[in-house]
Amino acid sequence: MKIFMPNHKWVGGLAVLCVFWGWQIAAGLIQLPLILPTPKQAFVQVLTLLVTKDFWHHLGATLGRGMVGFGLSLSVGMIIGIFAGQNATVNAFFRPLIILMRSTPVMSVIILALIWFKRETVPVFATFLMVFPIMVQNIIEGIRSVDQDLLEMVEVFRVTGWLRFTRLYVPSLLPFLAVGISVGLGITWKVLIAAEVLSYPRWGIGTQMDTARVYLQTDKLFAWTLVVVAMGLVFDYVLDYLLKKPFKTRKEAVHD
Amino acid sequence: MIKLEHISKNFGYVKVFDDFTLAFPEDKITVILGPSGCGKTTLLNILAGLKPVDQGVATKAEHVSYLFQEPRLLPWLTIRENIALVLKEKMEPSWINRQIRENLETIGLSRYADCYPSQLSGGMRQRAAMVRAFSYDAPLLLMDEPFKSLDVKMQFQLIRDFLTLWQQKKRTVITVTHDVQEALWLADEILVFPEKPVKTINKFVIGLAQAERTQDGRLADIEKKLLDLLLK
Repeated sequence: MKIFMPNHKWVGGLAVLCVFWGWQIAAGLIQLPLILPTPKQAFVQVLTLLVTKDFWHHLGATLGRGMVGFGLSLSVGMIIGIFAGQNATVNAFFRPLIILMRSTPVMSVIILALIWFKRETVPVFATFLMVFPIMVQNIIEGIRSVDQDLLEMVEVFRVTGWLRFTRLYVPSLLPFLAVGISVGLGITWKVLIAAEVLSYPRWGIGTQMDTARVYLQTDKLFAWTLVVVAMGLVFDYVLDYLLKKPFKTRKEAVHD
Repeated sequence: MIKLEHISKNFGYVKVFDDFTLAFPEDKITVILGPSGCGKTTLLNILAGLKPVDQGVATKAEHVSYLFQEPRLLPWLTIRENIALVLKEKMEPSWINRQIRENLETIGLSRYADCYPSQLSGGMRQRAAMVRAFSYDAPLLLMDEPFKSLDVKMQFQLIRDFLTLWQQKKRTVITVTHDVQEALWLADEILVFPEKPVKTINKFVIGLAQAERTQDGRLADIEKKLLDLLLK
């Protein structure tokens, strides 16, 4: 007998469809593209943007800043997280700093950065300050989750250094790292665009969004938003694929 | 020779060992029997170099191999990779490969070499841990109740496999347990630990080779004496 199983991908697609449908209805009722353009108008605007040369320049600039800010958070977070996860003193030193960073409002950071740095650097700095605490916390958790029994085993058999790090610590860390990267990337795009809107670098999606606001080009604003959402989705899919791959090699269970 | 001379060890106010002296015969299996919390695990930790003694001298082996109560295999490595992990950077790759192949072959585990631990049953996993323990080149093998929580048949099979490996790769084995039957199957020497603090112990030497210990009651008198001591 076949049991009916809902296809979850299909359900997710339905949800997205509902959002667009609601948007369409709302836009139809309001009848003012200046306040709320229709989905069609927004998508037409996306297509118009796609063919311009500047689009890729803006997208590239934002992507680049995102990668630098996120990459810094990840690498510095790794180094500090690994030490803080293993050593209580190091952890005690960084803990208050991390809590401080976590509770500082994004806007304070951006505005201060505007005073201190060049406009191109502000988004990177703000991204780092917001994403770094998330990375560090997840890595500390991951290091602490290493099985004590396995740790005792490698101790007795004198598996040390690089071998211990790559065979015991890294695989134990992987699920925590995946969560950190996924959450961190999501926040990266949010903070990055906010910082760009305020710092107004020459090239950048945030700059384009603010320009659209000034000239009341609401459809363009929607178009850029769709572009950022699409960018986030692409990263999420790639990440999902990369992180699941190492576990897919496991075969089905064979029992004696 | 592995020996302890006049050692003392305290945990806070609890005296575990008090001026205790003991030597372990080379290339023999010594089984330590005793109630829970009598200092058996402390003894293993001292011999493994994980804990220092407060007083006295502990003459330990330079390298120590270990068989734990649980298999303690890394879940993301295959059986072969798990065994290779403890040998890497210590031995030649060709030596490692041959060693693993031969030892897996000895107890009929070859066809599971490329399986992950999660794909094997509990008994198979413990066999893999056994191969790891014997592949590791150390003159001393310590075991902490390695055949616990198995049914009697499985326990017997694992001990049989263990003895096969040990016959091929003789080394000094020190194991702790509270299972009298297991002690009688394994031991060349049985030491019965009293309650804390451990000062002196009862020693039983079994002159019969492990392979000849059938269930014909030849060890019955030793079994009775052991039970008398443990139930006292």
